Parts: sequence; structure tokens; C-alpha cells
Amino acid sequence: MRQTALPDEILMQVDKPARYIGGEINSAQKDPAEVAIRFCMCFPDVYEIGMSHLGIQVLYGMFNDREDVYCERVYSPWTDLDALMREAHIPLFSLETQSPIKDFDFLGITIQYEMCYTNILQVLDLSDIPLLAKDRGEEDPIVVGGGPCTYNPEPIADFFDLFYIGEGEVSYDALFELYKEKKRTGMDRREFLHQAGKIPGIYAPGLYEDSYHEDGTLAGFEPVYDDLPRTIQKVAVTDFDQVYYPKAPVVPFIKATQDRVMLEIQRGCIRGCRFCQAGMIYRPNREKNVETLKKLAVEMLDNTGHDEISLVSLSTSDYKELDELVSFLLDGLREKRIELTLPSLRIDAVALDLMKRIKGVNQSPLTFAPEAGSQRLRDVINKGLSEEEILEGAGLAFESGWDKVKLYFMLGLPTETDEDAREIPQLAEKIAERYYELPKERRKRRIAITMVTSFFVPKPFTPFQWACQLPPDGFLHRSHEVAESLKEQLNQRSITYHWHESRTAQMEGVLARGDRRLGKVILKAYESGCFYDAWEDHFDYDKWTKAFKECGLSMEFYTQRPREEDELFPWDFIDCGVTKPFLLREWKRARGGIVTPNCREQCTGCGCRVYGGGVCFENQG
Amino acid sequence: MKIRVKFTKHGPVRYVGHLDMMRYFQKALRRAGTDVSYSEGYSPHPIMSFASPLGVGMESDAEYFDLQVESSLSSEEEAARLNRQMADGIQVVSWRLLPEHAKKAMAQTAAIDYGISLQEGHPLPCEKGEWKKKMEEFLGQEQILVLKKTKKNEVETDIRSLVFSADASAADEGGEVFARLCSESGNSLNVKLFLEAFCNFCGRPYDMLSYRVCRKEVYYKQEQEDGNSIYLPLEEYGEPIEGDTL
Repeated sequence: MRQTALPDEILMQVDKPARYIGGEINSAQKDPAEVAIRFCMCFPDVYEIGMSHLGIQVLYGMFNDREDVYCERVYSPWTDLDALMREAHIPLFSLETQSPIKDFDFLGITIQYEMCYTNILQVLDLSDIPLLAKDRGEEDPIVVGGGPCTYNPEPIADFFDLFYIGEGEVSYDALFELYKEKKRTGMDRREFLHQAGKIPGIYAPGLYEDSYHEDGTLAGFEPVYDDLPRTIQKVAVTDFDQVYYPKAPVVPFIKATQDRVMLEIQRGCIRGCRFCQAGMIYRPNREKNVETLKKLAVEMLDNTGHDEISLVSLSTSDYKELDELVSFLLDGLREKRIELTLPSLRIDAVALDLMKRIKGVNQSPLTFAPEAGSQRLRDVINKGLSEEEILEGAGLAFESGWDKVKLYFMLGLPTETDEDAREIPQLAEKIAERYYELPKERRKRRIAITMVTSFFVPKPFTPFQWACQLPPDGFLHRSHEVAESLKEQLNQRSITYHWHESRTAQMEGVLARGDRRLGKVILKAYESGCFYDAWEDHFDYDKWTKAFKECGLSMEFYTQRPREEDELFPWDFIDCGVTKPFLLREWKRARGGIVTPNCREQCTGCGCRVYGGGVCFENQG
Repeated sequence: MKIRVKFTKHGPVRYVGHLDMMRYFQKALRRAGTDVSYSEGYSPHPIMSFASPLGVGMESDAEYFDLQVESSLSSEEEAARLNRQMADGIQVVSWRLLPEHAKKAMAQTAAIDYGISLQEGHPLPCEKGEWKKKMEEFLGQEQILVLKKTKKNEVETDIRSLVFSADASAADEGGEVFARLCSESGNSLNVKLFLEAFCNFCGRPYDMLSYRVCRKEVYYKQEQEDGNSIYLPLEEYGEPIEGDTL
């Protein structure tokens, strides 16, 4: 019988103790003594969130397919356990073998959102691994970071030995081979990092130096060894159809946020929404063959016992063989009582037909993400969704029996005015009016429209990387405008409005486009008690403000300062495929309100053709 | 057809709560390819119901759920198939066909046996050598009054009649305390409340961390012709399925 690292008296005290016991179905069981490399994979947030992440399941399965590697998992202990572990001096442990993280060769951390940065420090701290990479010794694990936030890794560069820039399927084998050589030859830590820094996609932050102009902007960024690349090129999978995919993902005991089979149908997005980082950094768009997906779906359902499958991608509607895939799944799944969910659908006649076939008209709301209230602003952000399309989609849905609508918007987009914000409820009003065009006998109840606004955060490697972010009171002013404008609408009683915290958005903005100097702020914030910042109840803005003050840095420098077109950005040493000239062109077109066609309509030369696959090579002979 | 499944739960999985165990078995049944019957309606789910929720942290030799299936192989084969899908610490030990009109396991449940092992180093109500005697005195009382929490408030109740039997003689040699407690719906005694009452009787504080509880068996009550009733394990209400398929 397996033993738990935590004693009974602790497990009996904490909320959801099954978060910490491991032993889930399909979790890997190996003898750590029999492998060359022990890798611990971490998602720095609570178990239910971390277990819902597809990327970890992919790498976990892929690593464990290697006989010489044993990959285990660890998530952030919740605050109750955090306190108990510190009090009892219990080191953080992996789920599978319940052994200390410090005993591993690698600690891999996936970094999905900026607000988890302090949780990274919590994991290192509880593991008794020095927080700063420069203080680590030969016995400490190599701490490697991956995921979308590593496209600007500089704010957290001090805490990592390596960053992996790009898709995990590509370069880990090379890194593992190098590590085995290190063990064989007794190569020291620094030399290992130096050699690792030459592997495609691998960045060794400690071997690069930054310098700044007097105004605080970046002046230079150089490797300390001549044989290290000045630019780190993202690695991406070329043959996406045949790339590794986990056929037996781990099935948690407790209900994870994603308690279902996640089938990745495509990677990257053909749309060029100018605010969207995922839409840029995961280019080029690559699809899996529909036959491959059919086989995967069946195997994954059989191996997990899940009763639901969800198609994963940035834009489901753009998958070319969606109709065939859905038909296959519906035929095969209905008798097995397996539910199919299609997120990220663009509501039109095709989508509504699919939705009706899947579940019939149901109580879940129809979801639109116009992102901006006015057509002018939707053109600025290149959201190819017109008012006519929204009204037509909604109209069709109402005729089929839907009567709930959810609308997602962003506030604080570049060039936005109060008038743009006031148009948000006006759009909701038009949707409501469309509903009341239905004959009375076909309307079962009052229409229910929910508008949700979040605050725009400019991200690296988007055309808006040059944009200023609104200050928190500017955000609040805009949401006030939305609320005021709502009161002027005829159907205001059918429309509800929710908005998100503005100070979290500011913090996220600072960290997203920050530089290496922010490392000491993050460290200070953590030391003063910040963690679980992504959880609104735990986010402590005052502690962060204080940390900035003590480090002599200002948040506004990172969020509200206008950036020159030729400014050297902290993330410019990374080549994600999409080139800076393309982004700049898009930034100019945005301000001119000029729409750019999607990849399938016309290639606009973003730079990702170099990856040799996907949409860039469709219909091109 | 109705099936009664008995399984055991030991080791770290004792921290998996009741609702999660239900989800766990729903998925395990799918992986095993069991021919489960589904409910009608908007979101169909397997027709299954558990006998009695087990507290988080407790182990069990006897967990039960009833399951509706369309067809069944032999008991041995069905149990083996499920056991190939079990997590470490969970094992299916019986698969029995119930009479068509059988009441649900939960409704049938009348009594539960518990084995309570004492955790060294934690505060305990008795010293070694006192256990047997104290327990006899405890049971010798006319009434045992405890505060029982209901949804609205706390009421003082007499639990003496709910303790069917208890034996602490093994505890004097470092063994377990045994208790058979009434577990009829609306009239059941929680093992924690039993331990708390015993601690109160000994004049010592109750600390749940001092005990590790294992459920030993769950019983239904069968009236005898002579007017007395006997308690039989829930699984015995069903028949093993022999041979190939039904």
C-alpha cells in the first residue's frame, strides 16, 4: 500500500485531502531507482485547476513513455495546507511517489497566467529549493519553465534555470539526453545550463545580461557566452497530425474544473484578433486529421471512463472537418450516453445546427464574444464579427427556442472612448429587440441577456504590445459608462451587467510586459505574504504597491507609458515566428481601423511560414 | 436487473469523499464495459445508489452500492473486470443479483460494524488495562445522553439503544475497539458521536485524530418466524450469478 507524505492529522484537517494523495487512475507508476531522470511537473495553482490543464497531460504522458524518465506531478498546496506544512516543516512532495521535490532532477513549471508568479515562489519555497536560480547548488533540481508566459519570461527570469520557449513536444528529448550526459560525465550545473542554452527553444536566463537607458527602457540584452544564440527561436511541431497525444490521461478522484476528455483538434488560430496573445504565439494554425481525431476520441473515452468529451482549440468553428467529426462523435456516443461539448463556437446557422444536433435547444445560454460594443472598435481589434452577424445569429437562435444570451466584452481597448463603452448596452438592447420581433406565442419568457466586461491587458507578441493600458480608475469610469448607458435602454430589466476587478488587470499588465527588474518586486511581494494572486479573495493590492515602492519601481512605467515604435522590448530576444515588423504593421492598421483578413482568406506575411506546416501551406500547390 | 456491489477501501484513498467515490465508480464502470442501465431524460446517468456514506478518512471492508444493469456476466467475471479498473486500495469483493423488488441498500441498512484502532501518542480516554472495564460500565448505563446536531439545532438524545454492542477488551492488548451501531434511516448513530460519548463518560476530551476507523460490515435486518430478528450482511440479500451470462 502506498504511503502519504502527509500524516493523518494533517490530512484530516485540510479541505479536500484527496488533492494530495496521488494514486489516480492512469497516473504513472515506476520505480524511481530504475530511471535515469526524475522529472516533477508542476502547475502552480490548486489541484483542480492544474489537473484541468491539457499541456501537462500531454508532456506527462510523453515523458513517461520514455523508459528512462519518470515524470510525476505537483500542484500548489491550498492555503490551509501551506500553513500546516510550514509549521510542521514538511517539504513539498510529488503526488505519485510522495517524495520530496528537492530529490528530483527537474522541476518543470507550466506558467499559464501572470498572476501565478508568486505561487511559483511558494512551490520553490515549500520544496526547500533556493528561490533565486543563482543560489542553487549541484544537488538542486533544474527548474525549467514553459507555457505562454515564457514568451516574456523576464519578470521571473531570476527564479528559473531554464525556460522552454515553444511547444513541449519538440525539444525535451534533446534536453534529457544532455542531462544524461551531464550525469555520465559529471558536468557541473553551470556548464549544463550553458550547453542546454544551445538546444533549439531552450533559454538559460542566467547566462544573459540586461542593461537599461536612463529613462528605464531596455538598452541591451546579450548572452555572456559567444556560442549562445542572441535570439531564441520558438520551437513548434510541424507534423501536428502525428505528434504525440496522451491516450490515457490521468483521471482525478476529485472533480477537476475540466472533468472530461479534452480532444485538441487544432493548434493555433487563423483569426488575427489584435488583443489575443494565444492567436499569435501558437501560429501557424495546424489541424489534426479527422480520422486521427476519431481514433483518439474513442481510445481516450475507453481509457478514462469520462462521460463527456470537449473539443479543444482556439476557435472550434474554424476546424475544417468539424461537421464530419461531430457527426461521428454523435453517432458513436449517443448510445454510450457520452456528452459532447463544443466551446468557442462562432454563432451562425452552421453552429446553431450543430448545437441543436448535440443537445437540442437547451437552457445553457448562447454565447457571443463581440469584445467591443461598437463596430469601429471591433475593426480596431480585428474581431471579424459584425453587428449584422451577431443579430442574425441571435435571431436564428431565438427562432429555434433559445432565450438566454451571454455577451463578453473588453474595456480599455486601444482608441476606446466613452462612446464605445456606451454602445455595449446598445448592442444588448438590439439583441433584446430582435427577440421581441418573435410572435408573442413563441416567446416563453422574458429574454435574459448577461453582459460581462473584463479589462484589457496588452500582451507581448500582439499588435497591442505598444499600447497604453488604462489606469484602474479609468477602467472603473468605463464600466460606470456601461452601467449608465444600460439605464437608458428600453429593455434594461432583461439585461444584467457584471464586471471584473480592475486592479488585478493592472497587476497582470505590469507583469505581462515587465522586465527583469521586476524579479525583486515579485520576491518582495511573496515575502510579504502574497500568493494565490489569481484568486480575487487572496489578491492583496496594497502589499504589491508596497513592494513596488520598496524596490523603487513604478507600475505605471510598465502599463501607462507610451512605447516608441523602435523601443527594444524585454521579450524581443524571442522569435515566436510572428515578426516585429508584422506586429507593427498591424498596430498601425489597428489605429486606422483597417481589418486584416484571416490566414485562410489571404496570407499577410506574419512570418510563421518558416515552421513549414499548417494553414500557411494550404491551397498553395 | 439489480446488482449489489460490495467493495473495500483502504490506504490513501480513504481521503476520497463519498460523492467523489460515486463519480469514481461511474467512470470505472465505463472503463470496465459494464452493461449499465441509464436513466431517461435530459442528462442520462447510471442508475446506482450507495448504501451509506463513509466519512472522509475512514477505511472500509464493506462498502455497498446497488446498480441497475441490462445484462451481467457471472459474478466472478464482472468483479474481475471491475477490479482491472480499480485504483490502489479499492477492490470489488462481491457482485450479487438482487430480487427484482429489493429495496435499495440505503433503505435496507439497519446496523454497521466498526473497528476502531487507537493511535499511539494521541490523547485517549483510557489507559491500557482499563478499556474493557470502562466500556462495560459505559454500556451498563440506563441511558447515554448526547447532544445530537440536527439541521436546525442541537437536541439531547439518549443513544443507549442505538449501541447494539461494543467490546473494548482487545484494546487492552493494543487491539481494536469493536462497535455495532444502529444505522436505520432517521435513527442512526454516527461512530464519531459514539466515541465522543464514550470519552465524555471517561471524563476525557474527544480528539478524532486519536482513532482510525474501519467499517467492517453493513447489515440488513431480517425478521424471524419466532418474532426475533437477525442482522445479515447486505450482500447476502442477493445471489451470486454462476456460469456465463444472464
